Amino acid sequence: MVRAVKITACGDVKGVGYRRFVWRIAKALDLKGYVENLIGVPCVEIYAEGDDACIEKFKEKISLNKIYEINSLTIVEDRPKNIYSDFMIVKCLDEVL
Amino acid sequence: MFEELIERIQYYKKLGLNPLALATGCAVKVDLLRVVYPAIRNLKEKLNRSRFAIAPREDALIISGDASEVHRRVYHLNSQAKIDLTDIRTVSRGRKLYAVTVVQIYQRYADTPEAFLDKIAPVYLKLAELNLPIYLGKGHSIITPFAEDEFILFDFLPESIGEGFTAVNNDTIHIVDPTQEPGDFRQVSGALSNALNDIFVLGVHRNLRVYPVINAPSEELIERLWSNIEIYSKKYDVGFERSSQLERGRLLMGATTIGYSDRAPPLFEDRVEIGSKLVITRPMGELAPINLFLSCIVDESIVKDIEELGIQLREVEKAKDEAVERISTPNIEAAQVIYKYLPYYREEFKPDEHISITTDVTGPGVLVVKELAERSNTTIKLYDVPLLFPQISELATKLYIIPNATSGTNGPFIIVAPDAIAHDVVKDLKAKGLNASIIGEVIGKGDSEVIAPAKLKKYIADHRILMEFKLV
Repeated sequence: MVRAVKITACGDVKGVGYRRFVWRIAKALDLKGYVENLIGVPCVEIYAEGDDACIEKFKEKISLNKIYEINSLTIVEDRPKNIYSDFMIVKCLDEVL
Repeated sequence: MFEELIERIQYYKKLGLNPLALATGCAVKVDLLRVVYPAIRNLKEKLNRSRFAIAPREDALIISGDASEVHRRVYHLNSQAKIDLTDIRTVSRGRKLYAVTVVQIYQRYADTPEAFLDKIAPVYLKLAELNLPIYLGKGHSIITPFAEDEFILFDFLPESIGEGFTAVNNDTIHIVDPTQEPGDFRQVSGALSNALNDIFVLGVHRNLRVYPVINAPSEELIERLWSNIEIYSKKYDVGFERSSQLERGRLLMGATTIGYSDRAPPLFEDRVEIGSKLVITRPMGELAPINLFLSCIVDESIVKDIEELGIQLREVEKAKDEAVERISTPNIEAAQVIYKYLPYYREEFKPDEHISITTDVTGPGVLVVKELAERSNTTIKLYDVPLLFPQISELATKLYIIPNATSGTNGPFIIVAPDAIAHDVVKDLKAKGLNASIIGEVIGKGDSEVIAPAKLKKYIADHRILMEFKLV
């Protein structure tokens, strides 16, 4: 079964490689969606959709992260959009990695 | 080993930066698309009736003649910012001023164009009051997590006379290799070489000077960095000036770099011919082993993954060290070869004798070839994508360590040269010890497209980048 989640992670998450960390987990689990810095707040937004079990693993891995200082992690169920063919880091112009 | 490296990472955090950010491209740069460009558009409108002009974005500022004077001024970005206009008039003495700038802005003001503009506009508007012709040719905007570390730095260059041109660039980095001490020579060497790369790619290699932008939290470390700059200067015959600096703060290394050439820069986009060859000065992909090694340090499960795929951590570390060495070495020999195949300043461009365009392989990796195709409106066929560490780049892609494992910093150059001289260019580069090769050719004009070998999929995990190529 395909399901989707929207996650907001706040804390020391900008400019520290956190989006890359999320991207790596999502890609390894074959999830689709994106991770993006939110403007004006120290948070990133993650949208991920894919296999039910993979979404569970994704939530677990994101939550159990020991590398980044996350102050709050809000996870809400979302309706699968089925419009993404890959998992992307939404980047600024010079950000190419 | 892990404990020692993690301790070093903690040490860097105390210096005000997170080494994990090394792997994130422009994490320390202000977002160009969403913040800097809209702010600059607005600023240009505010400066519309003044004689202060801001150039479109270029990799380096190009000034006619041999600009030999550089006057640095550093201002605060707060309400106490004091700009002495008489001082700038003295610098100008009636001459047009060119300028390059570095802005370091508190994270809170780097999120929106409005907040960014509020911070920088007062400085520009004050300078515009001079009613002097000032041309800002290159800007570099970086973020600090510390409000007290904000600054705006200008290097003013009065106009000059004479033949040829002066190329000016500025760039900064926080650290090259976070597994080594900040006082390690390769950190400064990497920062300065990276800042020089945008002028080397123009074939500029004479009268080289660096005006370092240096900061550190202790006098001892600052002195160590200056000592390394002096070593760099002697080692590579690059002049340096200890111009005015920032107040003591968090770690930062970079420079305004300047060089002179009596030949025209390789900006002959409209002269690229079908049959021209693409020469790479050496293989690319410095960032894959650095990212893979750093990822192994912060996530030990990756060590197990790479071992299962047949690579030991010590091999990754060895590749990382080699990559750092490459990043820390200036590409001056490649600049000398580019220079040899450019027309003298007033000489006519000869399609069979001269290099038409060049680019450096940086963060976008092999994607810079698409930029070349767009600049020249040509179809390019790549035969090969030579990588420094193909096995590690493949592994870094397979494990989703890095979206584009062809990426680099202070990377090689790709030169578009006519067929008649392409082999000579390669021969000259090899004579200087560089592992150069021909990697492709221009096969059509009128459409910008890049045809690339399908093996690229092994080195690029980001589908959007792959979609920029026609894979065969």
